[in-house]
Amino acid sequence: MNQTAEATFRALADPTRRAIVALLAERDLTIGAVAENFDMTRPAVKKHLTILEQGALIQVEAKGRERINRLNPQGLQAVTDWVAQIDLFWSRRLDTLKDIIERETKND
Amino acid sequence: MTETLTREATETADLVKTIFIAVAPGTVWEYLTKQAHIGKWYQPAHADLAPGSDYAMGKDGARTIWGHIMEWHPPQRLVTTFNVGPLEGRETTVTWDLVAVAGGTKVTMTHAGIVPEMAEECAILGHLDAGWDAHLASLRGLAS
Repeated sequence: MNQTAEATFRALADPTRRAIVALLAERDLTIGAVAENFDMTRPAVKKHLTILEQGALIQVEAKGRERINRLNPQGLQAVTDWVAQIDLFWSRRLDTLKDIIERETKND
Repeated sequence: MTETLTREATETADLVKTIFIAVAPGTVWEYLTKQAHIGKWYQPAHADLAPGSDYAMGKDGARTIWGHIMEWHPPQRLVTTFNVGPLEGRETTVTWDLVAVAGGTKVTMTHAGIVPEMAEECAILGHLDAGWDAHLASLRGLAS
């Protein structure tokens, strides 16, 4: 698995972070606005947001003194690529399996 | 040509591929399980696959792909765990179903677990087919 996909999976592995992603799907939010939705400290929320950013699931934009958190629609690309890679692996292996069997048994 | 059963894959997050091979299931089974054949289409196997045992494949004795034989029903069904370096210890399963059909065998390969369960909950695979709008809709569903 490539590094970004792994980071994306790690980011999604936590229920709080999945809830944050769901919130940000509704609208862009500051750290404070995200924190209002959870029974946890602002630094704890910030930590979750950092992991989501590392997983490329959100982007953080500085707007004046605020930091706006926004969902990154491209963030799932790494996951898509990962699945496509496995898909291609099996397509090639299965095509080869069919070719080999049919060629070798024809000569029997 | 292989065919991906997209709808099923989307619902279960499994990768499912079906192929037709113009020989009987017993012959396909030999190619899936015998060391002498596996290397021709897959990776060099360190030994024949055997019920209830571990297996390993890779060139020059290297362990590139490895796992355990979970189900062994020749010549219909073979279920193995599947580990490969890039999965970083996350265990997946590969299931082979062989069905005799006119003129040959329908071979269905199902690779389950390639996307972590948590990611499935976020409907990530739905995003693959349904596009971003649908993905957002499902995320909103999670929020409500």
